[in-house]
Amino acid sequence: MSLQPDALQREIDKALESLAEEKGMDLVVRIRPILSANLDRNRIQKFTEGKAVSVEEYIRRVVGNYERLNAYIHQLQIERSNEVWESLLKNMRNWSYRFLVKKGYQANQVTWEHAKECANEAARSLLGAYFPYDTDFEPWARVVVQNACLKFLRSMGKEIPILEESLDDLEDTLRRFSGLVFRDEDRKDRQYSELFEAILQLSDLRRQVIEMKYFRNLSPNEIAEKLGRNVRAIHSLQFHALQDLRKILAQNRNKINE
Amino acid sequence: MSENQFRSSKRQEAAKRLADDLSQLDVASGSGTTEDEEMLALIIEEASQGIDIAKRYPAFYRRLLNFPDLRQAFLEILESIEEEDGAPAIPWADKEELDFSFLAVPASWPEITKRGDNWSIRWQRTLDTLQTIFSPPDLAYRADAIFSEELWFTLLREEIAMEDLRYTVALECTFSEENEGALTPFLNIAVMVETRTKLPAFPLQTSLQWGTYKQTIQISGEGRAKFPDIPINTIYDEEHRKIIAELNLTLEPFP
Repeated sequence: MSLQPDALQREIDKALESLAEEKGMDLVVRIRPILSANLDRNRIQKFTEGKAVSVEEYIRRVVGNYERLNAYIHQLQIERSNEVWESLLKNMRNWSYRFLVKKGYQANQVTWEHAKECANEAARSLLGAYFPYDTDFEPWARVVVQNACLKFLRSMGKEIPILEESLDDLEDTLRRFSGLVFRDEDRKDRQYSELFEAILQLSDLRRQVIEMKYFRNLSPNEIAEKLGRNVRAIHSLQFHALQDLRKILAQNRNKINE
Repeated sequence: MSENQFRSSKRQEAAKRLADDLSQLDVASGSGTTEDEEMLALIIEEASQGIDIAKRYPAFYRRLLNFPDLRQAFLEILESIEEEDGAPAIPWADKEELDFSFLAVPASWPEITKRGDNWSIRWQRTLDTLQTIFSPPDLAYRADAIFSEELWFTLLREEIAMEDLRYTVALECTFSEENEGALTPFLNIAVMVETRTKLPAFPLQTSLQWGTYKQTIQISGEGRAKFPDIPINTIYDEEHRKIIAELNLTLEPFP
């Protein structure tokens, strides 16, 4: 549920007042149009998700990013400095290339040439794009690059596979579990027996992520530490595990019906 | 309640949460809204920092479950960041000079007029430039892109120095919430004072002319100003495929 617009605006004004006392009116004047634009784009609403307490957090986030990134964005979009663009363009090319290879292109110089085209297309988009200052620059640039690559794939008539499956992990689904986590008395509850059976058929790593997230209520950082993985990998494992579970449940149900 | 019962009850609650997430998976098709895609960067940043996005952004997390394309976009970028650390170097990456020609976008220099203490700045956007801005976007993960899927269009982003002041001006528009078949333009203006003795020249007035549409509004200070809605028929042909009018934006002191 979102905050009503009036209530949201009041929270923003309150936060800006305290910011003005802390950092001066000049900064508030710079930030205000950014906040207005982000409000029009529903970004503030999506960040706060109805919680008034998050409005100040959002504004401080924008302020922090503005102080850190404004000069850089200015050099990219207004001054169009070759020196500043050099390292960014190199990164954008590399991101494009790796994305295309992941989508099935050969790891060769032809693909590299395509990646350069995608990076240039992304760079042109970036020049005129609106930067909201509520996110770091790199994730934002990566989204722009990925969109340019997908546009390229479509233009080449290439189908974009949705929900690519990790075949290695799916082959593990019928493996016998080890280190049983779920006890027999849980299985007595028929309502969840299918679900528990499916969980046991996940690959080890994905099963552990599901167990730790849902049954032990651990945070992504805690799970990452226990499994010796990066936290990004944990988010990825969790969603892939959910997809696998759906598939396994459907497969198991089909077997019952046969 | 015995310990075993408690544990079992706790497990059932957990299983319920899991089952609920599973039931939300892929209930919608596609990639959600453009706003969802625009939020991706923020969510990816939070996820990279270990924020539990299911708890912190429950509504967006639901949308990741609901929309497979949105989820795929999220996972692919997250995974690409993750894989980069150990990725082998790309053999051709450093072997050639970079081409910066994309930076040399044909400039439409603003026209500056000065009459004594009065001045005015006029920016123009040609048909070709506007067509590029409004061309039907091949939006990521969407099968059939139509131009109305894009929410915001940046018409102009410029910086100009005038009498010891540096004006940063951004003109953008979006589909009107009040009038169907119309666009609502917004102007962001920020001013940097380059000498201590010079005060910003507010109020200003800004005029937007686009085809037969012409509106002038007063700007009392830095910030964001809204123009009246522009009917799309004023600027687009009947099929809504081609822009038919150039745009002019003027900024000057309020008389």
